[in-house]
Amino acid sequence: MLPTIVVGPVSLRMPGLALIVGVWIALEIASRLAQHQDFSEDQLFSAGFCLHVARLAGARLGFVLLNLDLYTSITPLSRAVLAAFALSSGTENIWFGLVAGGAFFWWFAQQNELAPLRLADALVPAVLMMGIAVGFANFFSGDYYGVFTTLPWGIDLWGGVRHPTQIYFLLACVILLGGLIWLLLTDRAQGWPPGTISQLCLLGLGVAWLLIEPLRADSPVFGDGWRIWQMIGLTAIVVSLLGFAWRAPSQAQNVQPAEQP
Amino acid sequence: MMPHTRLQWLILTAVIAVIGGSWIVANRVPEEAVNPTGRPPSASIGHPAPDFTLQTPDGDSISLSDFRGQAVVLNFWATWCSICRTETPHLQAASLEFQGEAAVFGVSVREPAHLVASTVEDRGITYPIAVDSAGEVGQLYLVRAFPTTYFIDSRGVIVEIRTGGLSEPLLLARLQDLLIQ
Repeated sequence: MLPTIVVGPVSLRMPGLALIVGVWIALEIASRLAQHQDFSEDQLFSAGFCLHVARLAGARLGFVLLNLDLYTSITPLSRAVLAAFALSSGTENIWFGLVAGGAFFWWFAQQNELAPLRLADALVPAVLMMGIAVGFANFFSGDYYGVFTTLPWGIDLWGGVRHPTQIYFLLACVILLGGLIWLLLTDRAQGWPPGTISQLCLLGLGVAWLLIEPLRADSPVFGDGWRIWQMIGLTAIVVSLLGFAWRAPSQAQNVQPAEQP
Repeated sequence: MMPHTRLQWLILTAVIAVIGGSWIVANRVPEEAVNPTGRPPSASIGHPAPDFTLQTPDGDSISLSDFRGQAVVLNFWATWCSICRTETPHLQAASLEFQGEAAVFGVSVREPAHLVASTVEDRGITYPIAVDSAGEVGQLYLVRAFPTTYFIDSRGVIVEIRTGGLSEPLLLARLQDLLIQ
């Protein structure tokens, strides 16, 4: 855990720094791979950047709306407004952020006459890079921590040796991103139907959430101990597989041998 | 072998959904392990109070988690502490007034069990007392002075920490706040 590092008079909050660096690398990766998916670098950079801003604004707005009493108790009004827009982590609502990001994505694709599924495929490398950045941010802040373990790679955190679940998630994203870059650079994904890369990403992240969550000690749960991210993971897997089912032919196609003259 | 037809994909999806669902059921978080704040246990406001098990002066085991579901006033004290002596009647009265809804739990720090037992008897204390003769729990809760009192809500989350004596009105007001939360 390394929440802050002090360089002379400057105190740097490492989780925030990891996320900012992550956004920049994510946009760079997506725009450099743009040509392999028939997009221009500018198109993908602006799509990724605006999408990130929309997601962030939605997440913060959601948090402010859900905790309006906290902000209305701040006086004067100017301080309350500044507090609502202040750069502070932990004051975002992930669900509002996803809805805002999704709505912006749809609007952006329509405005620029881009096929939404192709655009989604092109943004997958940025999403996976952000997954890696989130893994680093959680590692620095000590969030997303694991249960106690005696395994040799356990990390000393919050009063004991624990599974490095932040690193597990980070590695899952590294493997998915590495595989995707290999597919794109070797043109193996050429000719795939639009949306296939997004489906594979959804499948990979779903498997990661399903497998890593039981090792977490701070899993958000609902109801009778159901781990929310495992439910989301299984939903992602099922949606991804149903996408493949939807595209598959209803009957096996028999290939007839060509007639000999 | 990859599925080829829609039916094969649907069968694969169903099989994976069943296996995944079973995996989720098997990995549900036990009720006692649910952390309401999503933060690690720590002796700080807004964090779940770290659990501990000690012995009573009579030699029985007692844990903080024994009071799960109730608001808890966790009071660290010592027999030699005069302010602790002053606040004991208030704690005793509160423990009787809020019986069943909130618990007062005293932890004597760095003192032998026989001394704690005689003090409990002399002062007529009937609320639960634990003996932390090694001072480990006091260290866990970062107790720097006596008395130190942690107010813990019914979810097990620390809502206030007070160092120094508690007056009766203050104690009752805090307990009422805890019960409202």
